[in-house]
Amino acid sequence: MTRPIGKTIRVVIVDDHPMLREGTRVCLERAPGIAVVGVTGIGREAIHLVAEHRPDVLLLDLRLPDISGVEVARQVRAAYADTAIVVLTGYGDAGYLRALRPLGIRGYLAKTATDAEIVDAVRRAAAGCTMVTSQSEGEILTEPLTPREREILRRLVAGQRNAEIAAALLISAKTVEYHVSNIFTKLGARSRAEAIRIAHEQGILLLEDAGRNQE
Amino acid sequence: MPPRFQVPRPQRWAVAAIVILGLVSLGDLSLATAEQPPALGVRARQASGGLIVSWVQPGGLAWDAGVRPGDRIIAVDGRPVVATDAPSTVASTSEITTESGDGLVRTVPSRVLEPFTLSRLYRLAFIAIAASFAVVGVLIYVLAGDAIVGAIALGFSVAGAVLFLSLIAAPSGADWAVTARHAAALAFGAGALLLFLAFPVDRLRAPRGRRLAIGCLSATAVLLAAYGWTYFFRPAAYDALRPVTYAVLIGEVVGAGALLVAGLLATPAERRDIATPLSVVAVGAFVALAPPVCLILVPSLLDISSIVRPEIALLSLAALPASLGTAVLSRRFFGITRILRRGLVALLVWIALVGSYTAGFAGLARWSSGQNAPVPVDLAAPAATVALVAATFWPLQHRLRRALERRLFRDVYDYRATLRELSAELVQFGELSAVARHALDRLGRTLDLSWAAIELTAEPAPLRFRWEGDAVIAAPDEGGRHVIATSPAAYQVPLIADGETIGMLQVGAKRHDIDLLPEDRELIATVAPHLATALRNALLIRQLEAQVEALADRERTLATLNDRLLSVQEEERRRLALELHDDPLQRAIQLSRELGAWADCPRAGHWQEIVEDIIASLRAICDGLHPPVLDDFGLPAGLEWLAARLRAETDLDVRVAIEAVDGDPFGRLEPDLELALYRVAQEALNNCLKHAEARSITVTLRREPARVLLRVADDGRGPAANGVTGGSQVGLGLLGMRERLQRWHGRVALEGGQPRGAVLTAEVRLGEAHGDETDR
Repeated sequence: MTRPIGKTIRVVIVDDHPMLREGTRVCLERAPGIAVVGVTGIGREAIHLVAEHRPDVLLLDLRLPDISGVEVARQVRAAYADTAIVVLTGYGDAGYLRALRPLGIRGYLAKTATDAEIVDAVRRAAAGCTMVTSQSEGEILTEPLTPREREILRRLVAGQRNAEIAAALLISAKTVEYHVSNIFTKLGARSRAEAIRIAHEQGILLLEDAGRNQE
Repeated sequence: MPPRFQVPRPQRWAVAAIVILGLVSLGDLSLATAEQPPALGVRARQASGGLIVSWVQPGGLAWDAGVRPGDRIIAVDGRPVVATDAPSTVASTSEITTESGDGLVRTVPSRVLEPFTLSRLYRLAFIAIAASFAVVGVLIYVLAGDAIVGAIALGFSVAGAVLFLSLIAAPSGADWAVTARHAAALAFGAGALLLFLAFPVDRLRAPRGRRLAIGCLSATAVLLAAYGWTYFFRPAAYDALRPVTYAVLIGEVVGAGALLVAGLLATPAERRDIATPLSVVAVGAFVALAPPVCLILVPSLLDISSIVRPEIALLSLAALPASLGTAVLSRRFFGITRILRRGLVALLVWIALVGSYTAGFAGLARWSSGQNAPVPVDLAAPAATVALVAATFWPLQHRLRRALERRLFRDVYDYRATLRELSAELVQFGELSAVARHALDRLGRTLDLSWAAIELTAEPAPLRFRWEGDAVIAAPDEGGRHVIATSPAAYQVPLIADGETIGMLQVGAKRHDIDLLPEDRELIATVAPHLATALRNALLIRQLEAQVEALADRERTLATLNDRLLSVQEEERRRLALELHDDPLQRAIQLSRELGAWADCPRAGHWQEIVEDIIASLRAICDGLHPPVLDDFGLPAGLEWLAARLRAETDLDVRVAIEAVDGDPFGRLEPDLELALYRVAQEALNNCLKHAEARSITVTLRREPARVLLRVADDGRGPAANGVTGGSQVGLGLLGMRERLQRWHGRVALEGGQPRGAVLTAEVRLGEAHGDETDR
């Protein structure tokens, strides 16, 4: 969590959705020591912006209209290795994690993250520019369960089936499935049984109230 | 035979002109000589007893009358020889009386032959024959590419012309005319033999032919030398020379005839057509050869030359060219494509008939006269002769010719062999037009038809095949309006196969308007069922092929349509997913973020959960429509994602194994193929879930250099329980998978697993051209 004193963290934001892009920009510019030097919604333009401004951190959305965010990440990693990449995406699934990991992505941030979480992730990534450790990378890449996911994990532990959970929470089975899939990914589980075992071992559900401070 | 004719050369025209000029002069000379006082052909010398015959023109008037050297001349021009008479007076006398050593007294008048031989008609006929020789010979000479053939033909024709021209003058006993007649006859015989040694089949190139030619020429030369010796030294020896000369002459001419027959038989049928110059000349050669053969050689052979009546001879002379000419013009006489062979037959028949008429008349004359002296017979009155010939000649020659043709031309008239061969040959053809063409060609050639046609009505579009001469025209029957003008069919037979009339076999008359024989009709009627069967088979094959082609076409169209439907569907899903992602999802995310600022509000947690559900729900929908991982990371990631979803949904143990040869990364495939295989895997996993009651599923994706294999194996009830055929849903599923991969010619199979369960295998060969790729 250290960073060179007095140096402004320069950030480029890449997000194809204007509303979210603007929200992120406002949030980061409010934070002290962080300057947004470029904003775009297009993958190729993102690469140009990086080439031009050489930002400390690239906040990158994965779904872009022209080339995929993964491709942008790959090119940026190859050409401008001193730019840290924080992937800002809605997909909390295994495929992306697995594909992004070999690229040396510094941060992985859900789009639903709050302003504070975004600022924190940017700062940590910028710090990682000079001092990268496997721990820090692993920490950043580990995402906490959301309250909803906790709720569902609790019901899984209680032995409820997807359909029962859906009925109880008044949501669709597909939505439950999606949550369950995300829970598996976050816990590194391959099945329900495994997820329940990990939940017990790590005491995730016991620390329910401590929630976010756990990280 | 190589082509023997060429564009006429100028120098040959010049030679021909000189020859014609010479012949015309000779004709003039002959006519003039015939008007002169008769020459007896006798020379005398002064002897003790008066005048003794010292020389007789061999074959001359005096010689014919029996006067020989050594005879004593008793009287000259009707008065007794006196001592003062000089030997030279004998040469210009018109009548002498001699007494031979045995006391026989002969009177040689100037007019030995009847006045007829000196008549205009007689001369005109001989001039005509001479002219026909000259024309034929000059034609061959001018046209022949081969110089030897040309020279021989010219020599032959000149000899013939000289022979007949000198015959005009011969009755007057002129020395030159008698000698010329003798020499020309010898040259004519030799020329005929040589001509047909070299033409129409060149035998001169063979040693045997050359020996024959040399022998012929040597004999002629020896005979001519012998004649010269006789002429100058021993006129009496002509008695012995004359039969020898005749024998050689007859041998040569008969040999020439035999060579002509053999040559024509050896010439391929298609070359023996009236249209070729070769045939024109050959027919001309007939015309030239026939009169001397019929008028001189046949009577000579029969030793009746002295009693052939001039009227009959002239009738023959007129009848032969007339009948041959009529035959060539109307083509009735020859009848068929093998015109020369048939012409030859006609000639033989003609010779036989005329010969027998001649002999008959001669016998009749002898019988009526009771002695063998030339007799004027009333029967020979021209009217009676003409009536007899007119009544018997045509029907007789027709029947004789037909009989001879049947014996000679077995290929034409052996119907059984034709039928057998045709039946055997038809089996070998499978294609419709080949069958029709062959049958028509065979029938047309065998029967010498003017045309033959097959009309097929069995097909949706009627077909017509027409044979005419050498070409077969296949034309669609445009509602009966044929492009080809059709003469009315002489005979037609329905083509019936399996009790169904598939068309008609029609034939026109034989060529040259000859009517069909009963045997011809019989042959056609017998061939028809065989032909119909062969045609029907060919039709069925054709229909089958058309149906197969139509089915294949329909399948291709369906596949293309299906492919397009799938593409449209995928495109729509992609678009829907994108729209959901771009707007509602992003707004929900924004809302979620902004709720973060309201954390201290008591309801905030609840709202947060609702928003989170909305987001999750939208993402679930988007991913279900079109998983973005597939686009961004490829098929392995897509399959992992599928497996993860399945794990989250059920308690199934789902494993994904990605294999690539030699440890290479799996890499990316063509995007459409990735999507297709992804959908196949999705469908397969769904099937496992619904039907298999499995506990674990293994998805294997294996990439090899030339192919990609996708295996979905479960430990469920197996394909039999799933019911590939019984369970229509599984069956349809398989069908759907095949259609998905059809663009890449992929194969999908569902088999039993070991020890239990089912294995679905999809295989796609890489780099295989998928030519039916649709425009998307």
